[in-house]
Amino acid sequence: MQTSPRPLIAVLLAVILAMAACGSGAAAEGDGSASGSDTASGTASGTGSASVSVEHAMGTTEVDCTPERVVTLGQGQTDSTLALGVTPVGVVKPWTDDWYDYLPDEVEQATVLGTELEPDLEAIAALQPDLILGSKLRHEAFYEQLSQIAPTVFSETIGVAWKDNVSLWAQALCRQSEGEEILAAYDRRADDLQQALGEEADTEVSMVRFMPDQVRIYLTGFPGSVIRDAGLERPEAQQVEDWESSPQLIELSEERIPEMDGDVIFVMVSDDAYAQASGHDLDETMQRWTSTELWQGLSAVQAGKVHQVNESHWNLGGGILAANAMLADLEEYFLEQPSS
Amino acid sequence: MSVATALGTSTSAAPPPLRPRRPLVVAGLVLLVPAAALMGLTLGSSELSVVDTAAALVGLGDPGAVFVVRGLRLPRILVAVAAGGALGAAGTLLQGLLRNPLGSPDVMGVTAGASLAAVVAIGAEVPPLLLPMAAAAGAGVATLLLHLVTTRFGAGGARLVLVGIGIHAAANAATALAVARLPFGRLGAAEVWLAGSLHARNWTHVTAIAVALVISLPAAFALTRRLGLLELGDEIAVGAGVPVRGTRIELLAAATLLAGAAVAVTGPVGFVALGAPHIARRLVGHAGTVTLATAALVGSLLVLVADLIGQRLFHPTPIAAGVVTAVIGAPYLLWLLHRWGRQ
Amino acid sequence: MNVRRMVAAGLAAVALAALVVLSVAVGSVTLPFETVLQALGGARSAEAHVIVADLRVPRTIAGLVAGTSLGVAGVLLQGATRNPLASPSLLGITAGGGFAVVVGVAIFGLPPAMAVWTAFAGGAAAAALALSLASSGRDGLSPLRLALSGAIVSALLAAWTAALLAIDQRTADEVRHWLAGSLAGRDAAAVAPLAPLVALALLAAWLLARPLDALALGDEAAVGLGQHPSRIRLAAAVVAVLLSAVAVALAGPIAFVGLAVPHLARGVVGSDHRPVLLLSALLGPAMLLGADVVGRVVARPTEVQAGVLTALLGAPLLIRLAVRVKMPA
Repeated sequence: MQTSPRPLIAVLLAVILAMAACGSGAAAEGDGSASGSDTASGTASGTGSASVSVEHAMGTTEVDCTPERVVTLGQGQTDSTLALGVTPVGVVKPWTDDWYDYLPDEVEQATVLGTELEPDLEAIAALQPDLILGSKLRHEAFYEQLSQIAPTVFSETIGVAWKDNVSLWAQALCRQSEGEEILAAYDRRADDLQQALGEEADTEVSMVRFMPDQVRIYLTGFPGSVIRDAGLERPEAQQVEDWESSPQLIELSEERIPEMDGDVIFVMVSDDAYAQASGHDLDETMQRWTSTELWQGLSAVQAGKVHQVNESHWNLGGGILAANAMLADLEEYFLEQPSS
Repeated sequence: MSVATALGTSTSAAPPPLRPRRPLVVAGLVLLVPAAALMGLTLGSSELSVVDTAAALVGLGDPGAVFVVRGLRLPRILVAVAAGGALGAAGTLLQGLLRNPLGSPDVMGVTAGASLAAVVAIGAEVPPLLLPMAAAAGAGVATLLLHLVTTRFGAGGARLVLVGIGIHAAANAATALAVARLPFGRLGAAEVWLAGSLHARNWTHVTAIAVALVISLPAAFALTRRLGLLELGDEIAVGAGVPVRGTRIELLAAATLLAGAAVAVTGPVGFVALGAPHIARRLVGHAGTVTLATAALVGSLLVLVADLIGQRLFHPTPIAAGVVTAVIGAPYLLWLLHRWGRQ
Repeated sequence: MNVRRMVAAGLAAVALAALVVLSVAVGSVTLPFETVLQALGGARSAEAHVIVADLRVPRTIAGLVAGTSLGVAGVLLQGATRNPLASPSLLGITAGGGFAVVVGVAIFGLPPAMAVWTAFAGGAAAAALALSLASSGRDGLSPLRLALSGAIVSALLAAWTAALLAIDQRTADEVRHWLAGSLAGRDAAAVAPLAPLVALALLAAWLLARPLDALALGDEAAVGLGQHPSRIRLAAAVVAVLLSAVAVALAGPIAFVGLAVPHLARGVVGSDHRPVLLLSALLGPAMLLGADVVGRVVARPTEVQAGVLTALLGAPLLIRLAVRVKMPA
């Protein structure tokens, strides 16, 4: 006759529920192994015996100074950690196939831990880090689990608040003075550029990006903030009233190509397209849009002032090194050009 | 389908199910699922030996290993098993209710409703811990809509399916719209959710789906006898004293509760609810509670294996379980349906 | 009755004309009507003129051709299968065609001129798959099984699209964008070479009208009237898939136009195929252009794809059909 699996299912369910109860308990107990004080993590904490209390998007975390084994779960974190002189032991993949050009070679020493969206938690644990840097935007769902591996510090978001984030990472890395220094150096560089531009600082810079399913103009965000720091202007369609609350970018329809115009248009293209500057591998969307009469009629296009830039540091990086690389591009474009 | 076939006392035109060995098959699966789960427990980036894994499972040994096994791997595996079981059971109930082997919550709006709600919640910056609730609410609304429309106009199987397909199409279109309107930085989270990923499942997820299973699985099993009679046709069922309308509603509710719970904790993992009942019928035939149990076990196995493959295949780049079932499961399923669609 | 049909056709033509005007005059950017007229008259001095002439006019033409193709294809499919739910999108034909085009062009680098034939191959494959799935059961081609198997085929393609994410994000984005169905940014210059094809297909559809009328009476009755049911079905299916392929090549997969339009038409002029075909050829583009225009204005400064809107609007229609149309329980 029929075997009734009902009792079995009931037993299985009871077991699952029991494990859930114990598991949550174990998870809570597991807290002891984190917060940087347990030898099970096997870290040889650096020279400092002091610790710093870092306030961040998910609360407050105690970090033993000076962390040496750092895991970075985002592009900005990787960038800024390297800028502060620390090579992370674990990083997440970049958005491109290869590492961004502007990052120092040391980044290739790090273990790749998955993607920024889905980092491999187990691999992180296996590295026995003493600090994990992430963002609430991307990683809120597993802050708990990360905290049990090592002290974890999250920024609120990524992009436009990149300078605040650099300070945060510097604090978490117990390298606050270095952090202030590199930010001050960036500010000086931006100011110098503005001075050197003189009247040219009134140039209205338009930033455009062609993607397979969207075409965007950038208002604020990371690239917008660097342009602003350099003292450059934006065309009317790309200006914002309230920097804080404005959307970072806008998607456009083809009819609105005129809104892409400016004194100069910087087109952010992918690494491959950038390398093939002759245009062979240009995105289909970009090819189609730029061959329309609307685009050809833009004043910047007519004046030949359309410049392709590498989206790696204009858009995909989001850290202090990327910001410096952007400034370098601007310096090269504006200052080393023969005056027309 | 003939009465004799339903009662399992005759041969059908398709290849005969392995009826004499039915208890063996079920027992085999009951052993296989935990075995696969345990094997899955030993796999992962940390490279723990089987002994270490076993020790960590019971709380002994290196605290780091205990964390990995009990805090990271175990909840994920349990979610896979539970969600897969729920999907298999949901599919069985639905296909019986509709008297149609092509029925599945995946194409009838339940999953699509959950996806829409999840994407909207992601866009509204709802904390990730509440996402399963949003998704479950979406599944619930879709089901409610389905129920309301069909009870108002007659809950014939055909109508139910078509209304479901309509809801599915509308929800998908609305989801595409919602995805396009996501605020900056949220697209990644939406894409991960929509791919059906079991990344970073924790004990909250396990509890959520365990609770749903505790409520709906016994109900599902209790309904199988009436389900079997309904499959023979309304007249026969009425003749046997089955309250047709009430039973249909209960079956729909159970199926959508199961499917909704699964999609709430894993996102959409497709083709499991469609295929597991077929595999079960192939193994044990139409046999009421046994088929249901078999389908649930097969579903568990499918999701578990899909998740494990997704984690290891292109390590360290993860592939979501839903993607694996789509790429591997779908063609296999089509072959299954094509050849054994009669059942 | 004839008066009714003529009035219906007249009204549909007027509605279509109005939508054509809207399609040219309205868009993501608001332009004064005067400027639009200037542009139509050949002026090209302002950006606005370029917008009208280079973007909106080709788009409108593409919408007209794609909409007509879809409407007529729907009539043919519903007549051939005697199934009120048959349509290019419900059977997975448009999804199959769209997927084939994207894979062929984006991944294998087929020339865009081959788009129609790629779409035809993909659409035919999807239809064959859906039909074989549906007829593997005991009741054969019931409307229900057909709809279900078509939905499964479409879900399959959607799943494979998602799977592409694992391989290449950029390709996946392209595929996803294409599969939503839109009149924007398609190569409207592709319309010209397709025009003779469409004309031939429409002619074939017109010639199939009487045989399909006979088929509607049942296979035996049709034979009695001197027709060959299977040949009619095959011819109708081929022409329908061809028209769907044209629509896909011009606009990507657009759902529900082929489903809704024949029903609307039949509601007004009855079930004779000739008037239904004519009315569908007018209502199809009306519906598509209407969706496109709404999409242009409802989400400024960007646009909502027409395919998304037809799905949102068409789904309630499908539900309404499901509860009203008589079918086996």
